[in-house]
Amino acid sequence: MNRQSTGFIILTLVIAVLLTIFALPMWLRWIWPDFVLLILIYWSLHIETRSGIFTAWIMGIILDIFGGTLLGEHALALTIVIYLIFKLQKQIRVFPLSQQAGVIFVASILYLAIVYWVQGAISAAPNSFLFWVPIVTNTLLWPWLSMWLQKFRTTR
Amino acid sequence: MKLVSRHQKFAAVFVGLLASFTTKLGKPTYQLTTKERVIRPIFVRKAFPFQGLKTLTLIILAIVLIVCDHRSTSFVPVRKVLSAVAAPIQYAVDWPVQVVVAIQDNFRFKQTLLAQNAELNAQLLIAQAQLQKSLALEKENLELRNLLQSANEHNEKVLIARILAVDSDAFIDEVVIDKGTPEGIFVGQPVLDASGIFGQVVQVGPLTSRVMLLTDPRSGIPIQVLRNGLRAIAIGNGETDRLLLPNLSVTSDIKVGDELVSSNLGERFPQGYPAATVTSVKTPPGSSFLIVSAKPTANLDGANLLLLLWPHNSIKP
Repeated sequence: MNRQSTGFIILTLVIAVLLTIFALPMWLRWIWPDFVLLILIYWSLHIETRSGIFTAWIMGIILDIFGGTLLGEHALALTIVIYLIFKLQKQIRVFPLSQQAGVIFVASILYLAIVYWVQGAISAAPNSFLFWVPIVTNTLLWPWLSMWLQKFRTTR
Repeated sequence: MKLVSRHQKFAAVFVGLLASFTTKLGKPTYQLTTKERVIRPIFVRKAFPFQGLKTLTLIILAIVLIVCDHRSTSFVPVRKVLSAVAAPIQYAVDWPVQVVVAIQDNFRFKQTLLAQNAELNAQLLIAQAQLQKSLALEKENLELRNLLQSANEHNEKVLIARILAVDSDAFIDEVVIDKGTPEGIFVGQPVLDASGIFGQVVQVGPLTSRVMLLTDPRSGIPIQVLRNGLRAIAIGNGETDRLLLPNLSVTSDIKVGDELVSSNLGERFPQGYPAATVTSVKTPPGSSFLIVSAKPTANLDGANLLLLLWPHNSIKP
């Protein structure tokens, strides 16, 4: 449970990044879930031996490079969210999946709010309400993603 | 009372140490009582000792990066290096899409190809006819300019670039193209597609460049109404097919369907290229400004090939 091969973790993160940067139609792009956030939350919940905060920071920088946002923007958001998740790790891990989805809901709001705040600070805040749609898609995706990853981990 | 408890503590610590030594030897001879176990957590190391400090450092580092990247131009080379690192991955993501396109091309029927060919030939003929007409007009224009003793406009250099199949963040209206520094791309370069102005280059790397679309909230383009020469600025709104024209007074002569062309006022976009068409003009009661929105002429969401332009901004008196 605690020991997880680093290779598998890196693989899931790479897939998450590829899913994020892959070209999509505009409407799908808006509702596309934040895969990197979800994968990072999953690992920071299920690994006790590593905090994953530095990984979150690096992933944030990678997202900034590919996403065209300011360097450090997603890094800031991911670091804060993953820190809080890791702090509450022991409580959240025993939640049923539906309740965990509630945590994802709040975490997504925090994540997007930080990104929104940074964009607002440089006066380029996204003014479409569609910006907040990933909160819903993240929440809906979480139970599936969590179960899939669980299954992959146990079969390996 | 206090003294006694302290003594007890010392004793417990001593016993605890002794116990740990004995367990290390592999012979647990002493079993801790429940009372002694209470103080054991003192010896347990915290699992993540400097985690809060680490997080704080990373947060500060991120904020410093944000400020530097936003404020300072010294980050441009850093960005260049990072884009060079990212480029192979972007090409790798783009590659399967190109393969699919190639397969589609291979399996197209001969008849479809012939029909397409005929259609393209017809289009070429029309375009050439228009070009002849425009050549004549250009010559005439040149003569008139000579008469007015103003500088000549030379032919503009162009380069075709392909959009890579990678996306930016949903709220960042940028695309990645497959041309960079070796081709002489520069920041601020105007970019067109087949039907109008597409945007401008905002970042150049060795293998790829980033083009900001007209609809990005950071974008603004000086335009002119083709019908009467009225000047305005069309700013992006973050929506795919809408530009806003702020600061037009209610008395301005602008109406739905007006063609907007670039006006070269900022000396960034060349003059006279189609940029947008007015879609709605609203007069809010009590306000002295119109609310005008326009639809970009270029196919911002679906374009595949772009034209990079090297304009000659030498219209100086």
